Amino acid sequence: MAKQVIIVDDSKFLIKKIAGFFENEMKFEVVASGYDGNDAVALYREHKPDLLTLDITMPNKDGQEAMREILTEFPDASILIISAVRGDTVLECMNDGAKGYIEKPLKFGDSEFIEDFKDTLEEIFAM
Amino acid sequence: MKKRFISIRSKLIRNTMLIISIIFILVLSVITIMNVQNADKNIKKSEHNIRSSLIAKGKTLASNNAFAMSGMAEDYAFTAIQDLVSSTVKDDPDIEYGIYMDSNQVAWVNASSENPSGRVMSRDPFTDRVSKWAASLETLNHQMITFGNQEIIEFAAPVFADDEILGFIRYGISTRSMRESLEEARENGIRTRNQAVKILLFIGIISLAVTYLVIRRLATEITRPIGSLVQSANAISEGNYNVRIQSESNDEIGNLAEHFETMRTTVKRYTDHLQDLVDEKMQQVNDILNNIDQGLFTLNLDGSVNKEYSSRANEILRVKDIASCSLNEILRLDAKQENAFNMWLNVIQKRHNKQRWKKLARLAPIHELELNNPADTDIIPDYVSIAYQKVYDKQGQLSKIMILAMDETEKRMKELQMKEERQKHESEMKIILGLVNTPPGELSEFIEDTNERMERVRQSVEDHLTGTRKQREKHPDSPAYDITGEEINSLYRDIHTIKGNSGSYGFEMLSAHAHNAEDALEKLREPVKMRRDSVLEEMITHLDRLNGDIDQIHSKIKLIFGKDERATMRIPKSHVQHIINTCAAIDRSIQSGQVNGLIDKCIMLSWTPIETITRKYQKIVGRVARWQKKNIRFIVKPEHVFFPSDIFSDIDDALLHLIRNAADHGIEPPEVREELGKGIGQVTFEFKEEDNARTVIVSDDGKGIDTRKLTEICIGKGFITREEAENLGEKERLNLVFMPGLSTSDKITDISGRGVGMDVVRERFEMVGGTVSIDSTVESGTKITLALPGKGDGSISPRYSVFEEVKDSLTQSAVECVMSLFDKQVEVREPWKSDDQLEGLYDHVLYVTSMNRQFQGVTVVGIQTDHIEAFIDESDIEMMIDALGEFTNTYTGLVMDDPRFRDSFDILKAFPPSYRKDCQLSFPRMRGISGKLFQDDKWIYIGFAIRNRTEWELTDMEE
Repeated sequence: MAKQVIIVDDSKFLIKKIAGFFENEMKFEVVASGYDGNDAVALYREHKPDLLTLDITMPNKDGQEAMREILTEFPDASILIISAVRGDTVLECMNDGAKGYIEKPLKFGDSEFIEDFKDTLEEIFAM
Repeated sequence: MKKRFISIRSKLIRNTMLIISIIFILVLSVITIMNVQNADKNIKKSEHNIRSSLIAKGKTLASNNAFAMSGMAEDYAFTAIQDLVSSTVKDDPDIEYGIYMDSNQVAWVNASSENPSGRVMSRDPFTDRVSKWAASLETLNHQMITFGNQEIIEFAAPVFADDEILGFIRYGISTRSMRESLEEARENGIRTRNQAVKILLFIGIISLAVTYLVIRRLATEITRPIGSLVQSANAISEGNYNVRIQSESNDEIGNLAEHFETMRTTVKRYTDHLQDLVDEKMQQVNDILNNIDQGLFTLNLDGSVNKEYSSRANEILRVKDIASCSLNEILRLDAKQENAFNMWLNVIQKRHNKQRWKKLARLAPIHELELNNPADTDIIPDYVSIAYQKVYDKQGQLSKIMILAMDETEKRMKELQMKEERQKHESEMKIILGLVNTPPGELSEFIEDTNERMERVRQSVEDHLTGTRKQREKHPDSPAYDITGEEINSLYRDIHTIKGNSGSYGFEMLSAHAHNAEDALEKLREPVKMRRDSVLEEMITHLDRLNGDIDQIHSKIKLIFGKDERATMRIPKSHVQHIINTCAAIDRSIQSGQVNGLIDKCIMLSWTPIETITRKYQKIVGRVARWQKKNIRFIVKPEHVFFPSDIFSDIDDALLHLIRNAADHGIEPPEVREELGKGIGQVTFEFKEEDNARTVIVSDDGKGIDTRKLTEICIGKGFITREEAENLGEKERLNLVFMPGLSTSDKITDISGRGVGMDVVRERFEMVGGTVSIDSTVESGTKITLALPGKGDGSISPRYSVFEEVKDSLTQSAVECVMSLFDKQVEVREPWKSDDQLEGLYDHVLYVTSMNRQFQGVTVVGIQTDHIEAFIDESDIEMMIDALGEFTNTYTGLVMDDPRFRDSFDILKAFPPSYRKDCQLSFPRMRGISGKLFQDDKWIYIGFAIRNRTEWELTDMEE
C-alpha cells in the first residue's frame, strides 16, 4: 500500500509542487494538505499519516509549535521539516524529534536536490 | 563474586593438620573400645571363678558338716551341733546363716550374725519354700536365693545315720564379698583406661604440635618461590617487565620460574619493540599534525576538547594552545551558540547512525568564523571555515568529532577582488546599457549638463581650497574658513542632480560616487573652529573619482559609437519637420507625388523605439526595486519596434501607476520568491497596435490578488455586504480592486503612496475611451489588459521593426544619402574602407552604428546577400572582426558574456549555452536575416546577414 503523506505549507503553490513530487516520484498518496500549524495538528489527528511535511514559518501557529503538539500526542509521528529557515530553528526541530529536514528553495529540477530528498525519506522510513 | 584468597601454605597446613587429627581420633577410639571390651571379659571371668570357689567351699562345708553331724544327730548331741554350726558361722564372715533342722523340719540350730549362739526358741517346723526344698533333698545340693536384697547361695545336705535321714544341715553363703571384689576390679579397670586415654591425648597433642611446626616450615619452603613468582607476575601485569624472576628452588617451581623468566624476557623484547613502533607511529602522527596546513582538532561528544591537534590549528584559530582551551573559547561561542552546539551534539549522538553525516553536519551552529584582531580593527579579519567529520572508535561507535578549521581569508580576498572586478564590469556594462538605451540627444544633454556642473563644483571647491590655504598662510591662528550655507546648497544641488541623472541613466558607479560626495559635502556644514582644508581636499578626491567615472562613460561612448559623444546622431525634431516641409514643398512644386514616401519616412525618423518610450516605466520599476531591495526585471514586448514618442502620453500617469503597483505590491520580496523558487521578478509591458486600436497588457509574476482577502477587506470597509459577496463570482471579486478608497496593502510605502487607487486608474482609461480587465492567480501573478482606441489621426502605419530599418537602410550610399539630407553634422562611418584586409569585402559590409541601441549593445554588421558565402567562412569573419576592432577601437557585434544579458537578449535564447562554431542563427521575428554566433574568452560576437534586401526608396529618388 502506498505510504500516506500530509503536506502543510502556507503557500498553495509549494504544496502543489511538493505533492507533485510525492505522487509522481515517490508514489505516495497525498491524503491532505494544510496551510498553518493548526491545520497540521488537526489533519494529523484525523489521518495519522505515515509522514507529515511541515513548513516552519506559517501564520496562526508555526511549524515548530505544531510539531511539538503532534509529538506530545503521537510520539512516533514522522515529521519532515521543509523550510527556508536556516540555522538554530531547524536544529531545535531536529532535537525536538523531527525525523529530517529539507531546505527551501525546492529545486525539483535539480537532480542533486531530488536525490537528497529521496535519501532523506529513505532515512526516515528506515528509522 | 570474587573468591576469597587463601594461600597455598595455609591450605597445606590446614589440610595436613586435619588428616593427622582424624587419624589420631580414630586410633584413640579404637584403643578405648578394645580396652573396655577386655575389662568386661576379665570381670566376667573373675566372677565365674569366685562363684565356683564359693560353691566348692559351700559344698565342702555342707558335706563335711553332714558327715560330722551324723553321729551327733544320732546321739542328739544338741550342743555339739549347736557349737559346730555357730562357730562355723562366726568364723566365716561369708556365711550368712547356718541351720540344722531335723527330718520334721524343726530347727535345732539357726545361727546368723544376729543370733551367733544359734539357739532356737521355737519348736515349730520351718515351712518356707527353701526349707521344703532342703527337706526334699537326698544328697548335697545348692540353689541361689535372694534374701533381703542380697544374693545368697544356700547349700543343703541330708545328715544320715545308717541310711536314715536324721536331719538336714543348711548353710547360706553370701556373694557380697565376691561382688565387692568384682566392683573393685571394675573400678580399677576404668581408672587404668582413663589414665591410658589421658596419656594418649597428651601424646597426640604433642605430636600435632610438632607436626604443625614441621609442616609449616615445609609449606613455607614450598610456597616461598611461588610467592615471589606471584610478585613478578603482578609487576608484569602492571606493565613492568623489568623485574627479574629468580629461580630459588630445584623443583617444579624452580623450573616454572625459569620458564617464566624466559617468557618475561621474550615479552619484554616484544613490548619494547611495540613501544618503539607506537612511538614511531605517534611521531608520524605528530609530524603530520604539526606540519599539516589545516587546523585539526577533535572534540568529545560531551563537548570537551582532546589533546591531539595540529599545530596549525593554533595559528588559524588564533589561540595559544587548543588543548587547554574550551570549545567556547576556540569557536568563540556565545551563550546562545553554546546552547545550540550542545543541542547539536545531542542530535548527532541520537542520529548519527540513522542520517547522513552531510545533513547532520549542516545543522552545526558554526560553519565560519570571522576572527578580528582586537588591536587592529583596520586589518581585514581572518575568515576561517569550520567543517566537521565524525570519528569512530574500534567498536564502530561514534567517539569523537573531528573539527577542521581552514583559513579562507585568501580565498575571501580573491572573492572580494573578483566581486570588485565583476562590479566594475557590471558598472561598465550598465554604462554601455545606459548609453545604448538613451537616445543620443538625451545623452549629449546629460553629458553636457554633467560636465558643466562638474566644472562648476570643482571650480568652487578649488577656489575655497585656495582660499583656505591663503588664509592659513596669512593668519595661521585665525578660525575656520567660512563657506556660506548658500554656497554649500548650490554645490549640493549640482552633485545631487548629477547623482539623480546618472542613476536614472544607469550609470550607477557615478551615482554612487556622487552620493559619497554628497555625504562629504555635509561635513562642510558642520561648525568647525579650524579651517576646512581637509574636507575640501576630500571633496577634491571625490570629484576626481566622479571625473574618473565620467571619463569611463566617455570611453564607453567612444567604444560604442566609435567616437566621442559628438559622433552620435542627434536629429532635432525641427530638422525633421524642416525636411518634411521641404519635401512637401518639392512635392507640391513638381507635383509628381514621388516625394510622399519620403515624407512618411521622415515622419518615422522622429519615432522612438518602444524601449525608449517605456523607459520611464522601467525607471519606476528600478526605483521600486532599489527601495524595496527587490530584484525585478522590466520586459517590453515586442522589442525593437518604433512608435511615435507620445503614443502613451494620454494615459501616462495611469500606466505608471499600474506598473508601479505591479512592482511594489505584485512582486514579492526576494526571500519569499526564493522560497517559492520563482527567481527574478518580472514586470512585463506588452503593446500592440492594430486597426487603430491599442492594447496594453501590464502583467507581473508576483503574488497575485487573493480574492478571499480582498472580499474580506471590502466587507470590512462596508463596500459590499457579506451576502452580496457570497453571490460574487471569481471575476467579479477580482473587480473589487477598482472600488474607490481601497488599498489591499496594509503598508503604505513611499513609492506606491496612497493617492491614486485602481479606481482612478480605471477612470483614466475609461476617459480616453478604453476598458480595463484584470486577471489574477494567487502566487502566479496579475495581468491587467487595457483596450484603448488608437492615438492621433490614425495615419500612423505601418510599423517598421528595427531590422526592417536595418534592412531597408543597408547600403552605405543610401545612408549617406539620408544623412546628407540632414544637417551634414553627422558623419557616416566607413571605417573599413581604408583597410586592406577587408578589400573585396568592404563593399558588401555595412557598419551601422546608429542602430546600436536597438540591439541592446550589439553593433550590427550587415553583409550583403551575395556575399553570404564569405560570411560563413569563419576566418573571414574573424579577419573582419579583428580589422573592425583594431580600426575603430570598438567591438563588433558584441554582447557581454554575462548570463543576465544572455537572458535578456532575446535572440541568444535560441542557442545552447555552450557555443558551437557552426551554429547558424535564424530569427523568426526578423525575416530575411540570418547570422552566425562566435565567441572568444570574453565576448560573444554576432554577425548578421541580410538575405532579402529591398532597395532603399531614396535610391529610386536619386535615379
